[in-house]
Amino acid sequence: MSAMKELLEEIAKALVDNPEDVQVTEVEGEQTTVLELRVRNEDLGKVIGRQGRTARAIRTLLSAAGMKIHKRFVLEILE
Amino acid sequence: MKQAREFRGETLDAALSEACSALNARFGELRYDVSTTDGEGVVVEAELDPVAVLGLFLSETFKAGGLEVAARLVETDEALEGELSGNDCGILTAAGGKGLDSLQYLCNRVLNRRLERHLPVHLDSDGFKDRRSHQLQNKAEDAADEALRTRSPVVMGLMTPAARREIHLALADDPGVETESDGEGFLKRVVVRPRRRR
Repeated sequence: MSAMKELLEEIAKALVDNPEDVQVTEVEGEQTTVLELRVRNEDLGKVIGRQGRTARAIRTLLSAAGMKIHKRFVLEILE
Repeated sequence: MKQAREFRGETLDAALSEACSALNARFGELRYDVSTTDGEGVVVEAELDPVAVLGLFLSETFKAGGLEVAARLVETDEALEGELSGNDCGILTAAGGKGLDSLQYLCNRVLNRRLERHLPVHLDSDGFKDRRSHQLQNKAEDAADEALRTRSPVVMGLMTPAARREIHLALADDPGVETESDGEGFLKRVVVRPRRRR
């Protein structure tokens, strides 16, 4: 399991009420890796936040951490 | 202890596991005092320990992400102050500290959704925020000088709301210039203009 996937899982689990239902799938592309995050419907707001602020903070952190391994990561929050 | 509640059990372990399930916490996230041990069992006063909750979150997050960063957390009456150190701190303070700001925001969500009171989390690394604030003050003064010299408005670069606030505050008492935010949402910029003569 990649470090970024684990990183996203840790963060998402700490934000939601139902951590057992947090799922991250990694779709690897040549330059960019897409991280698909699934949470329980009632927890969607917790990972998105007001005006998407939480999702934005997660994205920023993923790209900062991705710099270390010179890869781009894109977060998709799936409904 | 600020918000401690009483939990009861036949043994200390039973009382603590009661506290864990009521507070939705792992054992390591609690702080507690044993208040009485009468014939009926054990009573503990327990609450979430903010330092432990956030310390666990940060250490697990850094470990998961393969980041060599450690956090030292200190709880004061008004806030939880976190000092980050380690080889990978530069990743967080790069690009104006976007990573540090994002992590701080997430820490606030993670902690305060579980606490019954609000305890703001502040993260810093080796005086980074002071340095950033100094740079902003210098930028503000440069913009003010330029506005006065050219007698025309100076439009500053894109900044976070917190940074714009610092610029406004830095120049609030400057008799020569006035500041204003121009634009909408993400594209908001601070405009520094010479004060009109009356």
